Amino acid sequence: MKRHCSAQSREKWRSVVGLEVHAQLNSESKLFSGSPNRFGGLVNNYVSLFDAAIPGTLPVLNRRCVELGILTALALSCKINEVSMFDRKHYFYADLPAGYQITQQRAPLANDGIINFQVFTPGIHKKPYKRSSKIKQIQLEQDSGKSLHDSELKQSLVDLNRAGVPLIELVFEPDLEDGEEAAALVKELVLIVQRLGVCSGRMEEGALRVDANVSIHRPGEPLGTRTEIKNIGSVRGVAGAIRHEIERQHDILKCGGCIVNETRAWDAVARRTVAMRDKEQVQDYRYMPEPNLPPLRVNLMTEKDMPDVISVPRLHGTLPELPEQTRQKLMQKYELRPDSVIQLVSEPTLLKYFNNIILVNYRNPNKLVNFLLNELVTALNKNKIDIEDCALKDSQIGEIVDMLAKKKIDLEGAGQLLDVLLLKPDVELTDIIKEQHLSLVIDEEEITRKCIEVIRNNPKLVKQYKDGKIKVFKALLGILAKDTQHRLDMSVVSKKLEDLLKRVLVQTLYEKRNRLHLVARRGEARKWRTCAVGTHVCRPGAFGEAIKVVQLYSIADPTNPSSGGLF
Amino acid sequence: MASPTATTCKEAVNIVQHDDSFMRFLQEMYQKELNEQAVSGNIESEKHLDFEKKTKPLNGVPIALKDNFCTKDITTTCASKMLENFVPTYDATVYRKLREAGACLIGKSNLDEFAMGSGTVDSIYGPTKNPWGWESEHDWRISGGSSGGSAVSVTVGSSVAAIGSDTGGSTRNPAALCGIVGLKPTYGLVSRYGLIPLVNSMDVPGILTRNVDDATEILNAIAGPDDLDSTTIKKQFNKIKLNEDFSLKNVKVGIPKEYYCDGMSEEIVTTWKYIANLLESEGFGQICKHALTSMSIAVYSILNQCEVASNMARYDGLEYGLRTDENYSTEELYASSRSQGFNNVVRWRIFAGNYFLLSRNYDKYFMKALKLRRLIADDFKKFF
Repeated sequence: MKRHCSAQSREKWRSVVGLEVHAQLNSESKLFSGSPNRFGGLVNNYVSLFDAAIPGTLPVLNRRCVELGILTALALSCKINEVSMFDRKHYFYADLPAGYQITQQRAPLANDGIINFQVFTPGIHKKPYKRSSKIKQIQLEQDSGKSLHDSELKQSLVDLNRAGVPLIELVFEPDLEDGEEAAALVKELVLIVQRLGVCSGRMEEGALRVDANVSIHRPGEPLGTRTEIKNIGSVRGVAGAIRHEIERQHDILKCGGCIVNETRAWDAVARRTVAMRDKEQVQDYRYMPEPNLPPLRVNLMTEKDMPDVISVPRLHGTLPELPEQTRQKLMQKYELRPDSVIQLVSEPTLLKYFNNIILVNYRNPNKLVNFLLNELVTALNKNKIDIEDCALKDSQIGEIVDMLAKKKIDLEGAGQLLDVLLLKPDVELTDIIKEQHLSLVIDEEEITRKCIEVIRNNPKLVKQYKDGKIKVFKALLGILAKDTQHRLDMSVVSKKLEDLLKRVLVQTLYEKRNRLHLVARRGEARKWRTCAVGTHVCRPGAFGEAIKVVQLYSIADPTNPSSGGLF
Repeated sequence: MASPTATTCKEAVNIVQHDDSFMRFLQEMYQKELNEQAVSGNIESEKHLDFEKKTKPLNGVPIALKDNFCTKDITTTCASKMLENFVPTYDATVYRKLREAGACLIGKSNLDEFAMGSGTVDSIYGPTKNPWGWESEHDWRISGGSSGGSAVSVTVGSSVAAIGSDTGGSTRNPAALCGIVGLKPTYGLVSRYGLIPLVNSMDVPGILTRNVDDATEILNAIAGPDDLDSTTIKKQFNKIKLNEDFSLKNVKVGIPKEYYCDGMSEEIVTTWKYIANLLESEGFGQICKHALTSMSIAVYSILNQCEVASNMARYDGLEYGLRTDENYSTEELYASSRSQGFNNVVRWRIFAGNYFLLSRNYDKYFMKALKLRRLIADDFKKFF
């Protein structure tokens, strides 16, 4: 009932989504101190005096972080500001030792950019469509430490390894409509920052975190009150959190309630957003210019780099090819389908394989892509290996693809080959094939013999087939594949088995015809003849359903493949 | 400059130990570690002289350091309960440079809590009394502040030079009250790294000595760019040399009209007039006008309190400093540590600063104060 209700009235509402993304920068040291910027170190081990806000220490801006921020801004077509400034944002929290975060609120590093991306989630969208979102600003800022709350011991523990880690915050305009679009934007952003080498993009490590602002309103009316979902930690989480938040807001408004401007958190397990208690009160961050850092100046005009002034044109020259350019190139050069291109570019590891393998020999691009996206990904998933951790060499994958093309192995065999290779990457392919007997039988006589064997050994199924149940054909194929451990070229097998079965069928027809001849004497044979020979199709009801039967010139011995003539 | 012999240090330590009855420019609790440091510095200086036959510019010169400069392994308290037990693990750049120049630290000197004050009376260690005009325990004069301890240490001769900090007069004021030389160098000339801040945008390490030559020597030792302080002037610092016979011909001394104000004592006004006449008649004194003078206190107060509110936010008792036993919640812990750790002056400034920084007040107070500060600075630029 509820579901029905909401579906009916949903059409009258429009949802508006805007994102704020924090990305940790890949620098050696932190934004304002010399301690290492690394993930997963021993607790409180990468902490300089400044990171712990020891009195008297001062921030020193890390040049590399500025470069990485500018690279990102350039890749997103932003306007880089010649002068930007740092501000202090105050709030008390145990993992914020100074009591303020140094950020760029008033004069950020860059403004006015745009991100273009394709929205395509297999299973949700039939085909990809294009979207874009404007970027309001990109700012440099410090990350905070991490708090761990032990509710049983009533203790909070603080780890400052992350305190002072460089971040860029990207503030997007509310240009999106739903969670899938937001997820697609985040995915594209991850690809871009990975391409640039600016950020690892590992959302599971918190290297890229998403806040989403969500509101709904009726078309033609002003935007509704928004809520903010904080710190969403995965691409699918973005889609799920926003979808659930839209539904929640909708349910409230439908019942005449109103939306409270609040901060919520995404509970990925319960699949719902929940209000965050400690941020209930509206905070006044009491922004103030950071007095210990002079304004940050960059050179927008020349390629000349100076110790204190970074050249933006020089950085522009170092920009790599971006994911969208890669997609266009792949579609034009190899005529790949847009959806496969999107999937391929989404996985940098697979894209690298593709680019390296396609260069050697001539390989069918579509077959290669299919192999990578299906067989390789399946094998990796089965063996619980992350795609980016795949240790296979280009040459190994290339060889497997070639063997498939030459029908030395089939997809089944290729899958088994991959399973072994993933465990022991140094073993020779040919050895595995020999050991595991993966080599495909393409000898027709051998295949025919196996087919006959299966027909002989399964009289019941064959009888069903004869009686018109052609579905059992697949069962027979299955038995054959299983008996031979998938060593036969199944495309040949399938053809051969079909032929043989037809012969069996024809033999039956022949026998039947003889019987019919007897019937004909009673005046019914003529009808059958016309049917069988004339239309090439047996009429339903006569011999089961739509079995294709051809002219009956001669009858071969179905058990002897070399005998007999034409069907 | 006082001769840089090792005995200076010993003498200084003696004065510190025996002449502490009427003033408290040093904090006794870590007198011992300081003496050890002074003596070992003394030995170092001696070795340097005897074996290497080289002299460093400040070899063996005893110095005092205001207790808001961080000193490795020596308690640095800011005269506050909050930092009573704070032992830094690093040296302020100023101290590092002084040590490298051969000076030895004989004491950390008293101040108003977190350098907020101008009398050196708001210290958890009690007031530092002025050695001049001292009559009895109950009849004494203030030493000025907030670097009163540094000023007194130089005045009584326990150190040849002392480092203070100057935000709105904290070095010059006690120097004047104690009759010695006090210098606030240009902002950016001397590194603030390791100076526990009051107002980052105006703090400057100050120099207190008995004469101008000594002040020059100290400035030469501590000035110059520092990678650890981004606000230092990047240009290389060229050491200053004062000629024996210098002329005042190219010197312009401004005598701001507005600085003559109500409430000044008769004695001061007389002296002021005498000096002003002298300068004018010699041709380098010039009456100047600073129309915004009356606003400068308000501007200073707002900027000071805003930065104080921000700088004091780090004292939450978690990483260092006073932490009370409060364990109801983190917020309660903050509140009780901060209210017990800071005195009234500090707390008052924190409240006021946070009020000025509220987003609804920012333009009304902080922004306006910044603009006025620019105008006041322009006034000075125009004159000189």
